[in-house]
Amino acid sequence: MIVNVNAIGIDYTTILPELVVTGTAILVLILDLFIPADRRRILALVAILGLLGALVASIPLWGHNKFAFGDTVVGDSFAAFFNVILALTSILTVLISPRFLRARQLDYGEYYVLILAATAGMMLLAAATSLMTIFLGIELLSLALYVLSGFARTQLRSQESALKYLLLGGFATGFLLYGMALIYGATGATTLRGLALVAGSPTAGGNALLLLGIGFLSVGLAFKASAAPFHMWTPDVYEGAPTIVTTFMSVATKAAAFAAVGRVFVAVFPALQYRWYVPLALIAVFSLFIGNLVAIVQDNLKRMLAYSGIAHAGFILLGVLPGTPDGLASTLFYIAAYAVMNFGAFAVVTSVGARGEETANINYWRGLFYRRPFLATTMTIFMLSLAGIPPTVGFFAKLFVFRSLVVAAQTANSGQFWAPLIVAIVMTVVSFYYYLRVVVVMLMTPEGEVTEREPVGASMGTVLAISAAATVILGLFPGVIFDWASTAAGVHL
Amino acid sequence: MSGVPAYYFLWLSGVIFTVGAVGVLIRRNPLVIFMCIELMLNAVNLAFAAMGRYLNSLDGQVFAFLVITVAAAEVVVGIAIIVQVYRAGRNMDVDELDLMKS
Repeated sequence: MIVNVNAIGIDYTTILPELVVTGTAILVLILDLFIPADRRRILALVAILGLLGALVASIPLWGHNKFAFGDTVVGDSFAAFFNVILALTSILTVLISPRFLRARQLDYGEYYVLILAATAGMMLLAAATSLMTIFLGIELLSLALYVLSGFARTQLRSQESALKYLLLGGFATGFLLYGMALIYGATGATTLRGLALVAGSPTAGGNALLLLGIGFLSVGLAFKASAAPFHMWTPDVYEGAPTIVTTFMSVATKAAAFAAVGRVFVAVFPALQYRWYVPLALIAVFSLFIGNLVAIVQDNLKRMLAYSGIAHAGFILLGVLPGTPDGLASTLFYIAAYAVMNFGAFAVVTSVGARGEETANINYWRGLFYRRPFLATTMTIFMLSLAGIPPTVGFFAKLFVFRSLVVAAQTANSGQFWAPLIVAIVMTVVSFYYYLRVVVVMLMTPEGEVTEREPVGASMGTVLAISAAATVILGLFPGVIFDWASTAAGVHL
Repeated sequence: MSGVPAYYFLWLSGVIFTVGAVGVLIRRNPLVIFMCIELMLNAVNLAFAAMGRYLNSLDGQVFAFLVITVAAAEVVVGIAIIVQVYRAGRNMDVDELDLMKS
């Protein structure tokens, strides 16, 4: 078999964002050797500059549809949309990292390398149009996150969360890969373009090997998105990992995983929607039930937010169910909204626990309004947004997803979209309880002795103010982001 | 292998995959669980190689190489994490690693 090298389509501009982030990671790794331990802030600065570079490099991809490297990656609006979310999340994470790491004697340069490597993997996943690159992206982000979860090496909880994430993540990777092998065996294609051709044929719906493969693939992706019933690892890993890592991965991993879900189900297999609708709808409904109902009984805020993350995975998945670009647009908007508000919520948890004690317990948050009004106010905004109360961005995220289901039900003229919609609405009401509980607890008068006020650092203050402002402003003007999401959702193969 | 039909390899790979998956679920030592995961990945490699041969395309073998390489990287990270837990003097039993319970 002779391969024409020119036909492969080598085009480095397509993967420029990934290349910039990877290059920065290597640069930080080398710089770490020469920079004295007390000046590691420079590494954070270099990482931020690299991520800004990736942000800029993503902009030219907008509005294009450039396939490269033998159709394995694409530079399109969809990838650019996710690159911006991922790069911004990473930048905000790195901004608040130095102070957090120093307080715990974890100030190693490798931290930034791993954050950058994970970001590169996530960006690759958003741009991947081949089973190989999807696998590569998932593994790159997972391996970096396994190490990051165990980054507090001497803490037993951190070690334990790394081990659990590793074993369950490896297990899920096995299913993901076996699914890919079955899909390859059924279709003879590894690129999504090739798969879409086969999946569009009328006989594809009866191909048991292909359907089984798609099922296994969904298990692997649902695991990464922490959707129930593949969510078992989420609470433990979120709780045990250093809070700053949880902040990063709760937002970025979910965004990247749903990028792959969206591309695979809406762009490649829309013709098989009648086959994958019921399994995916069940995953969404399960996530909504388990996430929201178990979150009620959590007293640890990190665990509560972990279950809330599972619930939100269900909401995000609802937009994929119709299998149309319109539905996908609402999913993309939800991911952007979730990134802003969930990052903010975890950042407040990070800030409250900045001195390393056990502060994720809800009792510690009693009367936070009187001790640390700024933190409590921003946390209130994020909680209201996560609950979906107007005029925050979370309200419109839910509204758009619900609307896409209603539109799908009307166009398809079938009742199948009503069941998940009703569950989602009921569960939204349930979620008010545990989100608003945090606000109420913060308003209660503090009991016992009050720990002395610790100032919020300048970088953390800025990041929180930006997130809170974005949560409200995007809620007042949701149209801009939704237009972008609609453009990005028009994925073509 | 000309005389052996392709689906024999698929069945074998399915059996190996199942053995690995069941092993992950019933074994308690993290190291053994990790070996079972590797077994699952090797079943995948066999499936890819056999299907590549059956479909007369090189993609399957390329994919198998990719999986082998990534699995090696995963082993490095995995063993490092397992050793770290072991060094902390904890029992090598996943049922006893339960500091976090709701």
